[in-house]
Amino acid sequence: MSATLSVRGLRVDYGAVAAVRGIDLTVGEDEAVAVIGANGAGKTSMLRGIMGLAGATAEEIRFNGASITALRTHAIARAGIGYVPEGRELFPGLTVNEELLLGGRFLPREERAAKLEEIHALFPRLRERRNQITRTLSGGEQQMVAIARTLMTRPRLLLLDEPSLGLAPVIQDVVYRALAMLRRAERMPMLLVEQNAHRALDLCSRAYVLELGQVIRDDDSATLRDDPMIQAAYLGD
Amino acid sequence: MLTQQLLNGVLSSGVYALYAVGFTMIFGIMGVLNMAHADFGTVAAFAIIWAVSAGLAPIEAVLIACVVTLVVALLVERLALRPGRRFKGDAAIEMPLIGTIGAGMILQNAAALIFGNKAIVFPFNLRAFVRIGGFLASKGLIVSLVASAVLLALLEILVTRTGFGRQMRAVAQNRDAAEIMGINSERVILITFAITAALAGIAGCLVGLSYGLVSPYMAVSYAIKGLVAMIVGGVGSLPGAVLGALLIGGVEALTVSQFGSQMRDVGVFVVLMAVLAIRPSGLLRVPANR
Repeated sequence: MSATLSVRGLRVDYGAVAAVRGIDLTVGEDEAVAVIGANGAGKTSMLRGIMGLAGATAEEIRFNGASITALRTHAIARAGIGYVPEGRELFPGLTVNEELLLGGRFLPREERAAKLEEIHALFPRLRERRNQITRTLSGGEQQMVAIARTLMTRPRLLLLDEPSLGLAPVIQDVVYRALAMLRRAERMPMLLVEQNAHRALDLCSRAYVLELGQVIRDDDSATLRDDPMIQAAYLGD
Repeated sequence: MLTQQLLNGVLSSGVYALYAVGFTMIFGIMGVLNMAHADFGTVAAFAIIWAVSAGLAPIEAVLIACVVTLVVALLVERLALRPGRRFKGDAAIEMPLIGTIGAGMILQNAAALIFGNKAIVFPFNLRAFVRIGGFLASKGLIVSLVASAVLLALLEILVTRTGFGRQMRAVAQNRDAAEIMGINSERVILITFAITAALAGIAGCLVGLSYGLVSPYMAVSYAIKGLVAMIVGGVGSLPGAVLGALLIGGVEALTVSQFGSQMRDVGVFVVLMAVLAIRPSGLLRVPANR
Protein backbone atom coordinates (compact mmCIF):
# COMPACT_ATOMS: atom_id res chain seq x y z
CA MET A 1 0.00 0.00 0.00
CA SER A 2 1.37 3.41 -0.91
CA ALA A 3 1.24 5.89 1.93
CA THR A 4 -0.53 9.25 1.69
CA LEU A 5 2.01 10.82 4.02
CA SER A 6 5.32 9.43 5.18
CA VAL A 7 7.62 11.33 7.48
CA ARG A 8 11.14 10.25 8.30
CA GLY A 9 13.46 11.81 10.87
CA LEU A 10 11.49 15.00 11.57
CA ARG A 11 13.20 17.33 14.02
CA VAL A 12 12.05 20.72 15.28
CA ASP A 13 14.43 22.82 17.36
CA TYR A 14 13.68 26.11 19.08
CA GLY A 15 17.17 27.40 19.76
CA ALA A 16 18.76 24.89 22.12
CA VAL A 17 15.44 23.24 22.95
CA ALA A 18 14.43 20.24 20.84
CA ALA A 19 10.62 20.07 20.59
CA VAL A 20 10.54 17.17 18.14
CA ARG A 21 13.46 14.75 18.13
CA GLY A 22 13.36 12.50 15.12
CA ILE A 23 9.81 11.36 14.46
CA ASP A 24 8.87 8.76 11.84
CA LEU A 25 5.23 8.34 10.94
CA THR A 26 2.97 7.37 8.09
CA VAL A 27 -0.63 7.96 7.17
CA GLY A 28 -1.87 5.26 4.82
CA GLU A 29 -4.23 5.70 1.93
CA ASP A 30 -7.77 6.33 3.28
CA GLU A 31 -6.45 6.17 6.84
CA ALA A 32 -7.22 8.39 9.84
CA VAL A 33 -4.34 8.44 12.32
CA ALA A 34 -4.32 10.08 15.74
CA VAL A 35 -1.41 11.56 17.63
CA ILE A 36 -1.98 11.72 21.37
CA GLY A 37 0.28 12.97 24.11
CA ALA A 38 0.52 15.36 27.01
CA ASN A 39 0.97 19.11 26.78
CA GLY A 40 4.43 19.91 25.45
CA ALA A 41 4.98 16.49 23.92
CA GLY A 42 5.69 18.17 20.58
CA LYS A 43 2.40 17.47 18.80
CA THR A 44 1.82 20.98 17.48
CA SER A 45 5.50 21.42 16.58
CA MET A 46 5.31 18.18 14.63
CA LEU A 47 2.41 19.43 12.50
CA ARG A 48 4.04 22.83 12.00
CA GLY A 49 7.21 21.01 10.99
CA ILE A 50 5.38 18.98 8.37
CA MET A 51 3.86 22.22 7.00
CA GLY A 52 7.26 23.92 6.78
CA LEU A 53 6.34 26.53 9.38
CA ALA A 54 8.67 25.70 12.24
CA GLY A 55 12.13 25.78 10.67
CA ALA A 56 12.08 22.00 10.98
CA THR A 57 14.51 19.56 9.42
CA ALA A 58 13.54 16.15 8.15
CA GLU A 59 15.34 13.37 6.32
CA GLU A 60 12.33 13.07 4.10
CA ILE A 61 8.65 13.95 3.95
CA ARG A 62 6.68 12.38 1.10
CA PHE A 63 3.10 13.14 0.17
CA ASN A 64 1.35 10.85 -2.32
CA GLY A 65 4.72 9.66 -3.52
CA ALA A 66 6.34 13.07 -4.10
CA SER A 67 8.90 14.65 -1.82
CA ILE A 68 7.69 17.84 -0.11
CA THR A 69 10.69 18.10 2.22
CA ALA A 70 12.09 21.28 0.68
CA LEU A 71 8.83 23.00 -0.27
CA ARG A 72 7.63 26.27 1.26
CA THR A 73 4.39 26.29 3.23
CA HIS A 74 2.11 27.58 0.47
CA ALA A 75 3.47 24.98 -1.96
CA ILE A 76 2.84 22.21 0.56
CA ALA A 77 -0.71 23.47 0.97
CA ARG A 78 -1.20 23.56 -2.79
CA ALA A 79 0.16 20.03 -3.11
CA GLY A 80 -3.00 19.03 -1.23
CA ILE A 81 -2.32 19.07 2.50
CA GLY A 82 -5.03 20.95 4.38
CA TYR A 83 -3.83 22.16 7.76
CA VAL A 84 -6.27 23.28 10.45
CA PRO A 85 -3.97 24.84 13.04
CA GLU A 86 -4.35 25.07 16.78
CA GLY A 87 -6.16 28.25 17.73
CA ARG A 88 -7.82 28.39 14.27
CA GLU A 89 -5.61 31.20 12.86
CA LEU A 90 -8.44 32.90 11.02
CA PHE A 91 -8.17 36.26 9.28
CA PRO A 92 -9.77 38.59 11.82
CA GLY A 93 -11.07 41.11 9.27
CA LEU A 94 -12.57 38.76 6.70
CA THR A 95 -16.14 37.52 6.62
CA VAL A 96 -17.05 33.84 6.77
CA ASN A 97 -17.72 33.81 3.04
CA GLU A 98 -14.43 35.56 2.24
CA GLU A 99 -12.54 32.92 4.23
CA LEU A 100 -14.29 30.18 2.28
CA LEU A 101 -13.73 31.86 -1.09
CA LEU A 102 -10.06 32.29 -0.24
CA GLY A 103 -9.89 28.52 0.20
CA GLY A 104 -11.85 27.81 -2.99
CA ARG A 105 -10.13 30.31 -5.26
CA PHE A 106 -8.56 27.70 -7.55
CA LEU A 107 -11.82 25.83 -8.18
CA PRO A 108 -13.80 26.44 -11.35
CA ARG A 109 -16.96 28.47 -10.71
CA GLU A 110 -19.55 25.66 -10.67
CA GLU A 111 -17.36 23.39 -8.62
CA ARG A 112 -16.79 26.18 -6.11
CA ALA A 113 -20.53 26.73 -5.75
CA ALA A 114 -21.09 23.00 -5.29
CA LYS A 115 -18.34 22.76 -2.70
CA LEU A 116 -19.79 25.73 -0.82
CA GLU A 117 -23.17 24.00 -0.85
CA GLU A 118 -21.56 20.82 0.55
CA ILE A 119 -19.90 22.79 3.33
CA HIS A 120 -23.10 24.58 4.25
CA ALA A 121 -24.72 21.16 4.53
CA LEU A 122 -21.89 20.01 6.80
CA PHE A 123 -22.00 23.19 8.94
CA PRO A 124 -25.43 24.87 8.49
CA ARG A 125 -24.33 27.55 10.99
CA LEU A 126 -21.86 28.93 8.46
CA ARG A 127 -24.63 29.67 6.00
CA GLU A 128 -26.43 31.78 8.61
CA ARG A 129 -23.21 33.58 9.48
CA ARG A 130 -21.83 33.97 5.96
CA ASN A 131 -21.49 37.77 6.00
CA GLN A 132 -20.23 38.04 9.55
CA ILE A 133 -16.64 39.07 10.32
CA THR A 134 -14.92 36.00 11.74
CA ARG A 135 -13.52 37.88 14.74
CA THR A 136 -17.07 38.22 16.08
CA LEU A 137 -17.92 34.50 15.89
CA SER A 138 -18.01 32.12 18.84
CA GLY A 139 -15.09 29.73 19.32
CA GLY A 140 -17.04 26.81 17.91
CA GLU A 141 -18.11 28.74 14.84
CA GLN A 142 -14.51 29.87 14.30
CA GLN A 143 -13.40 26.24 14.45
CA MET A 144 -16.02 25.38 11.84
CA VAL A 145 -14.71 28.17 9.58
CA ALA A 146 -11.15 26.91 10.02
CA ILE A 147 -12.15 23.39 8.95
CA ALA A 148 -14.52 24.60 6.22
CA ARG A 149 -12.08 26.97 4.53
CA THR A 150 -9.53 24.15 4.45
CA LEU A 151 -12.06 21.78 2.89
CA MET A 152 -12.69 24.44 0.22
CA THR A 153 -9.12 23.84 -0.98
CA ARG A 154 -10.12 20.19 -1.69
CA PRO A 155 -7.28 18.72 0.35
CA ARG A 156 -6.17 15.13 -0.09
CA LEU A 157 -5.02 14.94 3.53
CA LEU A 158 -6.22 16.86 6.59
CA LEU A 159 -3.87 17.78 9.40
CA LEU A 160 -5.98 18.76 12.40
CA ASP A 161 -4.52 20.32 15.54
CA GLU A 162 -6.72 20.07 18.64
CA PRO A 163 -10.05 20.76 16.93
CA SER A 164 -11.88 20.37 20.27
CA LEU A 165 -9.67 22.73 22.27
CA GLY A 166 -11.62 25.29 24.28
CA LEU A 167 -15.01 24.21 22.95
CA ALA A 168 -18.07 23.21 24.98
CA PRO A 169 -18.80 19.45 24.75
CA VAL A 170 -21.91 20.06 22.62
CA ILE A 171 -19.87 22.00 20.08
CA GLN A 172 -17.11 19.37 20.20
CA ASP A 173 -19.82 16.88 19.18
CA VAL A 174 -20.75 19.02 16.17
CA VAL A 175 -17.12 19.26 15.05
CA TYR A 176 -16.42 15.56 15.52
CA ARG A 177 -19.66 14.54 13.81
CA ALA A 178 -18.52 16.56 10.79
CA LEU A 179 -15.10 14.88 10.83
CA ALA A 180 -16.74 11.44 11.08
CA MET A 181 -18.95 12.37 8.13
CA LEU A 182 -15.88 13.28 6.09
CA ARG A 183 -14.41 9.90 6.93
CA ARG A 184 -17.57 8.04 5.95
CA ALA A 185 -18.47 9.99 2.84
CA GLU A 186 -15.07 10.81 1.33
CA ARG A 187 -12.66 8.51 3.21
CA MET A 188 -10.63 11.68 3.79
CA PRO A 189 -7.17 10.78 5.13
CA MET A 190 -6.45 12.55 8.41
CA LEU A 191 -3.66 13.11 10.86
CA LEU A 192 -5.36 14.25 14.03
CA VAL A 193 -3.52 15.75 17.00
CA GLU A 194 -5.73 15.75 20.07
CA GLN A 195 -5.40 15.94 23.84
CA ASN A 196 -8.85 14.49 24.18
CA ALA A 197 -7.67 10.93 23.54
CA HIS A 198 -11.17 9.44 23.80
CA ARG A 199 -12.40 11.41 20.82
CA ALA A 200 -9.20 10.84 18.85
CA LEU A 201 -9.24 7.07 19.33
CA ASP A 202 -12.93 6.91 18.44
CA LEU A 203 -12.40 8.67 15.12
CA CYS A 204 -9.08 7.09 14.10
CA SER A 205 -8.15 3.48 13.54
CA ARG A 206 -4.54 3.87 14.60
CA ALA A 207 -2.57 6.21 16.86
CA TYR A 208 0.90 7.35 17.77
CA VAL A 209 1.71 8.26 21.35
CA LEU A 210 4.15 11.16 21.66
CA GLU A 211 6.30 11.90 24.68
CA LEU A 212 9.05 14.52 24.87
CA GLY A 213 9.23 14.86 21.11
CA GLN A 214 9.46 11.17 20.35
CA VAL A 215 7.07 8.41 19.36
CA ILE A 216 6.84 5.95 22.27
CA ARG A 217 3.95 3.80 21.01
CA ASP A 218 2.29 3.10 17.68
CA ASP A 219 -0.70 0.80 17.67
CA ASP A 220 -4.33 0.20 16.74
CA SER A 221 -6.81 2.41 18.53
CA ALA A 222 -8.57 -0.62 20.03
CA THR A 223 -5.35 -2.00 21.47
CA LEU A 224 -4.35 1.36 22.92
CA ARG A 225 -7.79 1.87 24.44
CA ASP A 226 -7.50 -1.44 26.31
CA ASP A 227 -3.96 -0.82 27.49
CA PRO A 228 -3.94 -0.05 31.25
CA MET A 229 -0.87 2.17 30.93
CA ILE A 230 -2.46 4.29 28.19
CA GLN A 231 -5.71 4.41 30.15
CA ALA A 232 -3.93 5.72 33.22
CA ALA A 233 -1.83 8.29 31.35
CA TYR A 234 -4.15 9.60 28.62
CA LEU A 235 -7.69 8.37 29.03
CA GLY A 236 -8.09 9.42 32.63
CA ASP A 237 -10.09 6.43 33.81
CA MET B 1 -9.94 84.41 -0.35
CA LEU B 2 -10.37 81.66 2.20
CA THR B 3 -12.24 79.51 -0.31
CA GLN B 4 -9.48 80.07 -2.86
CA GLN B 5 -6.90 78.87 -0.31
CA LEU B 6 -8.96 75.82 0.57
CA LEU B 7 -9.33 75.03 -3.12
CA ASN B 8 -5.54 75.18 -3.52
CA GLY B 9 -5.21 72.87 -0.54
CA VAL B 10 -7.64 70.31 -1.88
CA LEU B 11 -5.98 70.40 -5.30
CA SER B 12 -2.52 69.71 -3.89
CA SER B 13 -3.80 66.93 -1.62
CA GLY B 14 -4.20 64.48 -4.51
CA VAL B 15 -0.47 63.86 -4.72
CA TYR B 16 -0.21 63.65 -0.91
CA ALA B 17 -2.90 60.96 -0.95
CA LEU B 18 -1.02 58.97 -3.60
CA TYR B 19 2.08 58.97 -1.43
CA ALA B 20 0.11 58.27 1.75
CA VAL B 21 -1.68 55.16 0.45
CA GLY B 22 1.69 53.71 -0.55
CA PHE B 23 3.04 54.16 2.97
CA THR B 24 -0.09 52.69 4.50
CA MET B 25 -0.24 49.67 2.15
CA ILE B 26 3.36 48.74 2.83
CA PHE B 27 2.84 49.17 6.55
CA GLY B 28 -0.37 47.17 6.35
CA ILE B 29 1.05 44.18 4.54
CA MET B 30 4.66 44.14 5.77
CA GLY B 31 4.37 45.84 9.15
CA VAL B 32 7.27 48.18 8.32
CA LEU B 33 7.80 51.72 7.08
CA ASN B 34 9.38 52.17 3.68
CA MET B 35 11.22 55.46 4.15
CA ALA B 36 12.42 55.37 0.53
CA HIS B 37 8.83 55.26 -0.74
CA ALA B 38 8.53 58.90 -1.84
CA ASP B 39 11.96 58.70 -3.48
CA PHE B 40 10.46 56.33 -6.07
CA GLY B 41 8.55 59.40 -7.26
CA THR B 42 11.79 61.31 -7.68
CA VAL B 43 13.32 58.39 -9.55
CA ALA B 44 10.40 58.31 -11.99
CA ALA B 45 10.47 62.09 -12.55
CA PHE B 46 14.23 62.12 -13.18
CA ALA B 47 14.00 59.09 -15.46
CA ILE B 48 11.59 61.08 -17.62
CA ILE B 49 13.89 64.13 -17.58
CA TRP B 50 16.80 61.94 -18.63
CA ALA B 51 14.88 60.15 -21.37
CA VAL B 52 13.52 63.38 -22.87
CA SER B 53 16.92 65.06 -22.82
CA ALA B 54 18.29 61.98 -24.61
CA GLY B 55 15.85 62.77 -27.43
CA LEU B 56 13.23 60.09 -26.80
CA ALA B 57 9.55 60.57 -27.51
CA PRO B 58 7.24 61.27 -24.54
CA ILE B 59 5.66 57.80 -24.64
CA GLU B 60 9.10 56.18 -24.67
CA ALA B 61 10.13 58.36 -21.76
CA VAL B 62 7.11 57.19 -19.75
CA LEU B 63 7.88 53.54 -20.50
CA ILE B 64 11.50 54.00 -19.46
CA ALA B 65 10.39 55.72 -16.27
CA CYS B 66 8.14 52.75 -15.46
CA VAL B 67 10.95 50.25 -15.98
CA VAL B 68 13.55 52.28 -14.07
CA THR B 69 11.21 52.91 -11.14
CA LEU B 70 10.21 49.26 -10.86
CA VAL B 71 13.80 48.05 -11.07
CA VAL B 72 14.90 50.53 -8.39
CA ALA B 73 11.91 49.64 -6.18
CA LEU B 74 12.52 45.89 -6.44
CA LEU B 75 16.21 46.43 -5.65
CA VAL B 76 15.30 48.43 -2.54
CA GLU B 77 12.85 45.70 -1.53
CA ARG B 78 15.45 42.98 -2.05
CA LEU B 79 18.32 44.76 -0.29
CA ALA B 80 16.66 46.86 2.42
CA LEU B 81 13.34 45.19 3.26
CA ARG B 82 13.49 41.47 2.60
CA PRO B 83 16.45 40.74 4.93
CA GLY B 84 14.33 42.01 7.85
CA ARG B 85 11.63 39.40 7.21
CA ARG B 86 13.94 36.67 8.47
CA PHE B 87 13.70 38.08 11.97
CA LYS B 88 10.98 38.38 14.58
CA GLY B 89 10.50 41.26 17.00
CA ASP B 90 12.30 44.61 16.92
CA ALA B 91 14.90 43.65 14.31
CA ALA B 92 12.15 42.88 11.80
CA ILE B 93 10.99 46.51 12.08
CA GLU B 94 14.27 48.35 12.65
CA MET B 95 16.29 46.75 9.85
CA PRO B 96 13.90 47.84 7.06
CA LEU B 97 13.43 51.26 8.72
CA ILE B 98 17.14 52.03 8.76
CA GLY B 99 17.74 50.24 5.47
CA THR B 100 15.14 52.27 3.61
CA ILE B 101 16.31 55.57 5.16
CA GLY B 102 19.72 54.67 3.76
CA ALA B 103 18.27 53.68 0.40
CA GLY B 104 16.43 57.01 0.23
CA MET B 105 19.66 58.93 0.91
CA ILE B 106 21.45 56.97 -1.79
CA LEU B 107 18.69 57.68 -4.32
CA GLN B 108 18.57 61.40 -3.45
CA ASN B 109 22.31 61.84 -3.69
CA ALA B 110 22.60 59.74 -6.82
CA ALA B 111 20.05 62.04 -8.45
CA ALA B 112 21.96 65.08 -7.19
CA LEU B 113 25.25 63.70 -8.54
CA ILE B 114 23.82 63.00 -11.99
CA PHE B 115 21.51 66.00 -12.42
CA GLY B 116 22.97 68.57 -10.00
CA ASN B 117 21.57 69.42 -6.60
CA LYS B 118 19.20 72.18 -7.67
CA ALA B 119 15.63 71.93 -8.83
CA ILE B 120 15.47 71.37 -12.58
CA VAL B 121 12.79 71.91 -15.17
CA PHE B 122 10.41 69.04 -15.85
CA PRO B 123 9.95 68.66 -19.64
CA PHE B 124 6.16 68.60 -19.46
CA ASN B 125 4.12 71.09 -17.54
CA LEU B 126 0.61 72.40 -17.15
CA ARG B 127 1.25 75.54 -15.15
CA ALA B 128 -1.49 77.60 -16.75
CA PHE B 129 -4.46 78.61 -14.61
CA VAL B 130 -8.10 78.22 -15.37
CA ARG B 131 -10.99 80.12 -13.89
CA ILE B 132 -13.71 78.08 -12.19
CA GLY B 133 -16.59 80.17 -10.91
CA GLY B 134 -14.47 83.10 -9.88
CA PHE B 135 -11.64 81.01 -8.47
CA LEU B 136 -8.26 80.27 -10.00
CA ALA B 137 -6.96 76.72 -10.28
CA SER B 138 -3.77 75.38 -11.81
CA LYS B 139 -4.40 72.98 -14.71
CA GLY B 140 -1.62 70.68 -13.53
CA LEU B 141 -3.09 70.43 -10.05
CA ILE B 142 -6.54 69.70 -11.46
CA VAL B 143 -5.06 66.93 -13.61
CA SER B 144 -3.13 65.52 -10.67
CA LEU B 145 -6.17 65.60 -8.39
CA VAL B 146 -8.34 63.82 -10.98
CA ALA B 147 -5.62 61.28 -11.77
CA SER B 148 -5.08 60.61 -8.06
CA ALA B 149 -8.80 60.19 -7.43
CA VAL B 150 -9.12 57.69 -10.29
CA LEU B 151 -6.08 55.70 -9.17
CA LEU B 152 -7.24 55.65 -5.55
CA ALA B 153 -10.69 54.45 -6.58
CA LEU B 154 -9.12 51.66 -8.68
CA LEU B 155 -6.91 50.73 -5.74
CA GLU B 156 -9.88 50.56 -3.37
CA ILE B 157 -11.69 48.27 -5.84
CA LEU B 158 -8.58 46.09 -6.20
CA VAL B 159 -8.24 45.68 -2.43
CA THR B 160 -11.89 45.18 -1.48
CA ARG B 161 -13.45 43.52 -4.54
CA THR B 162 -10.92 41.26 -6.25
CA GLY B 163 -9.42 37.88 -5.48
CA PHE B 164 -5.95 39.36 -5.37
CA GLY B 165 -7.19 42.02 -2.94
CA ARG B 166 -8.52 39.25 -0.71
CA GLN B 167 -5.08 37.65 -0.79
CA MET B 168 -3.48 40.98 0.11
CA ARG B 169 -5.79 41.40 3.08
CA ALA B 170 -5.17 37.80 4.13
CA VAL B 171 -1.38 38.27 4.09
CA ALA B 172 -1.75 41.58 5.97
CA GLN B 173 -3.94 40.05 8.66
CA ASN B 174 -2.21 36.72 9.25
CA ARG B 175 0.77 35.76 7.15
CA ASP B 176 1.17 32.15 8.37
CA ALA B 177 -2.53 31.50 7.86
CA ALA B 178 -2.29 32.90 4.34
CA GLU B 179 0.55 30.48 3.60
CA ILE B 180 -1.39 27.46 4.85
CA MET B 181 -4.22 28.52 2.55
CA GLY B 182 -1.77 28.14 -0.34
CA ILE B 183 -1.07 31.86 -0.78
CA ASN B 184 2.50 32.66 -1.80
CA SER B 185 2.91 35.55 0.63
CA GLU B 186 6.31 36.61 -0.75
CA ARG B 187 4.73 37.01 -4.18
CA VAL B 188 1.77 38.98 -2.82
CA ILE B 189 4.18 41.26 -0.93
CA LEU B 190 6.32 41.84 -4.03
CA ILE B 191 3.34 42.69 -6.22
CA THR B 192 1.96 45.03 -3.55
CA PHE B 193 5.35 46.69 -3.31
CA ALA B 194 5.47 47.15 -7.07
CA ILE B 195 1.97 48.69 -7.03
CA THR B 196 2.96 51.21 -4.35
CA ALA B 197 6.15 52.06 -6.25
CA ALA B 198 4.09 52.70 -9.38
CA LEU B 199 1.76 55.00 -7.44
CA ALA B 200 4.75 56.89 -6.02
CA GLY B 201 6.26 57.13 -9.52
CA ILE B 202 3.05 58.62 -10.89
CA ALA B 203 2.89 61.01 -7.93
CA GLY B 204 6.44 62.21 -8.64
CA CYS B 205 5.60 62.87 -12.29
CA LEU B 206 2.39 64.69 -11.32
CA VAL B 207 4.48 66.97 -9.09
CA GLY B 208 6.69 67.79 -12.06
CA LEU B 209 3.66 68.33 -14.26
CA SER B 210 1.95 70.66 -11.74
CA TYR B 211 4.89 72.77 -10.59
CA GLY B 212 7.20 72.46 -13.61
CA LEU B 213 10.19 71.72 -11.38
CA VAL B 214 11.59 68.69 -9.60
CA SER B 215 14.48 68.45 -7.17
CA PRO B 216 16.56 65.48 -6.03
CA TYR B 217 15.50 66.15 -2.43
CA MET B 218 11.81 66.82 -3.00
CA ALA B 219 10.91 63.36 -1.66
CA VAL B 220 11.77 64.43 1.89
CA SER B 221 8.85 66.84 2.21
CA TYR B 222 6.44 64.52 0.36
CA ALA B 223 7.48 61.64 2.61
CA ILE B 224 6.69 63.75 5.66
CA LYS B 225 3.28 64.71 4.28
CA GLY B 226 2.52 61.16 3.19
CA LEU B 227 3.49 59.76 6.59
CA VAL B 228 1.54 62.42 8.49
CA ALA B 229 -1.51 61.86 6.26
CA MET B 230 -1.28 58.11 6.96
CA ILE B 231 -1.01 58.60 10.73
CA VAL B 232 -3.71 61.27 10.89
CA GLY B 233 -6.11 59.18 8.82
CA GLY B 234 -5.43 55.93 10.66
CA VAL B 235 -2.60 53.54 9.81
CA GLY B 236 -3.69 50.74 7.48
CA SER B 237 -6.83 52.47 6.22
CA LEU B 238 -6.94 53.56 2.57
CA PRO B 239 -9.88 55.99 3.01
CA GLY B 240 -8.08 57.27 6.12
CA ALA B 241 -4.99 58.08 4.08
CA VAL B 242 -7.10 60.05 1.61
CA LEU B 243 -8.88 61.92 4.41
CA GLY B 244 -5.53 62.67 6.07
CA ALA B 245 -4.15 64.00 2.78
CA LEU B 246 -7.15 66.30 2.30
CA LEU B 247 -6.79 67.62 5.84
CA ILE B 248 -3.09 68.26 5.39
CA GLY B 249 -3.55 69.92 2.00
CA GLY B 250 -6.15 72.25 3.50
CA VAL B 251 -4.21 73.06 6.66
CA GLU B 252 -1.04 73.66 4.68
CA ALA B 253 -2.74 76.09 2.30
CA LEU B 254 -4.33 77.99 5.20
CA THR B 255 -1.03 78.15 7.11
CA VAL B 256 0.78 79.53 4.08
CA SER B 257 -1.87 82.16 3.46
CA GLN B 258 -2.13 83.27 7.10
CA PHE B 259 1.48 82.99 8.27
CA GLY B 260 3.59 82.84 5.11
CA SER B 261 5.26 79.99 3.28
CA GLN B 262 8.11 79.62 5.76
CA MET B 263 5.47 78.24 8.18
CA ARG B 264 4.27 75.67 5.60
CA ASP B 265 5.18 72.52 7.55
CA VAL B 266 4.36 73.90 10.99
CA GLY B 267 0.62 73.68 10.44
CA VAL B 268 1.01 70.08 9.25
CA PHE B 269 2.86 69.11 12.41
CA VAL B 270 0.34 70.90 14.62
CA VAL B 271 -2.39 68.77 13.04
CA LEU B 272 -0.27 65.64 13.60
CA MET B 273 0.24 66.46 17.28
CA ALA B 274 -3.41 67.37 17.80
CA VAL B 275 -4.60 64.09 16.28
CA LEU B 276 -2.05 62.07 18.24
CA ALA B 277 -3.17 63.77 21.45
CA ILE B 278 -6.92 63.46 20.90
CA ARG B 279 -7.27 60.33 18.76
CA PRO B 280 -3.94 58.49 18.67
CA SER B 281 -5.19 55.67 16.45
CA GLY B 282 -6.07 58.16 13.70
CA LEU B 283 -9.37 59.42 12.38
CA LEU B 284 -10.41 56.24 10.56
CA ARG B 285 -8.46 53.52 12.31
CA VAL B 286 -9.80 50.15 11.22
CA PRO B 287 -10.80 48.37 14.44
CA ALA B 288 -8.45 45.61 15.67
CA ASN B 289 -6.00 43.89 13.36
CA ARG B 290 -6.59 46.26 10.46
